[in-house]
Amino acid sequence: MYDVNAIRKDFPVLERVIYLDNAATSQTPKPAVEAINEYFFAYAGNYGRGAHRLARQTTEHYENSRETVANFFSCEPANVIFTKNTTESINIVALGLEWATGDRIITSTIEHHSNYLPWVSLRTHGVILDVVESNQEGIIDPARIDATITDRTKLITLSHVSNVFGSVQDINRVIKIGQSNGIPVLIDAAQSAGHLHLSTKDLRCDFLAVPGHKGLLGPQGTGILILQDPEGLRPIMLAAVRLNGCAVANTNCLNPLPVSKRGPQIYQALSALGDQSNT
Amino acid sequence: MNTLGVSNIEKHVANLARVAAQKLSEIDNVTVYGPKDRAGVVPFNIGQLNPHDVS
Repeated sequence: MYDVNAIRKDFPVLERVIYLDNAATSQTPKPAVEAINEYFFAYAGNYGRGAHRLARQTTEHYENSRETVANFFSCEPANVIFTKNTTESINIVALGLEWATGDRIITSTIEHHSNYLPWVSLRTHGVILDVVESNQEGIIDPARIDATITDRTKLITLSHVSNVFGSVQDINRVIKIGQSNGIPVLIDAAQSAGHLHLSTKDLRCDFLAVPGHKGLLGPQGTGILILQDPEGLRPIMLAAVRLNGCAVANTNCLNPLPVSKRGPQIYQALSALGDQSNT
Repeated sequence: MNTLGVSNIEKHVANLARVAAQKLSEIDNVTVYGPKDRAGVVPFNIGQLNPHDVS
């Protein structure tokens, strides 16, 4: 075991408060804050978009972080996308998959709104939500999920740990049910990443949505999406760098930036298009 | 976190949650929700008080 008092020294605010709201966001330890300061004071540049030393250093640090995260979850760096939070990770999947009228999604009654509203919004595409009930203690019986599957079920999406009950779902069984029926599974790990062992080698879920600012002790504004197939989602925002042409008349989005190649936080906006089209 | 080990964190959090749930349930008028084996989330109500007021 470890020395809790020694670890608490990395969180100066804990000298003044007893903090119990880690389910919402955790305090950020000194090494993480120092790493942020180092970025601003030592090498800040534009990730992946510059040839000079600072831009290269920024890119290197960013990609090292991706590798650290990949090692932590036992996957390849190519399977790791950085996002703003779990909410964005889930929305990227909801908006990135192709949907047809009559497609169905299985979820549960005890999901966080971030793993509910993105799927509810797909009703405008004619997508139907099948909501499985938990028991009184917040446990979802995987057999209920199995019994809810139809030939139109396109996704099963479930929280690993309930933010309301603290209940831990049998996600291994749910993922196996999905696999045996050829249905992708998304696991919302908002309350489990960093708290419970999570290896994508063991789990083999199609999508794992993770917050950076809770159990992983990163800063606010960080999240992760781990995908089995990094090229399997339609990008929800576009970057200018892969457009086939930049004049307004012939701008062509047939070859958009894959979702896995997205920038650090915000995509290159298409606002530069106007300037370029005048040249 | 790699140095601490997630399995150690898991044990520590489970123990904290178990003790918190147990101690809270011993207080009059407090209702604790959720399963006995839980992660680090311990929901409870104090009588009919609004949770926002309690927090």
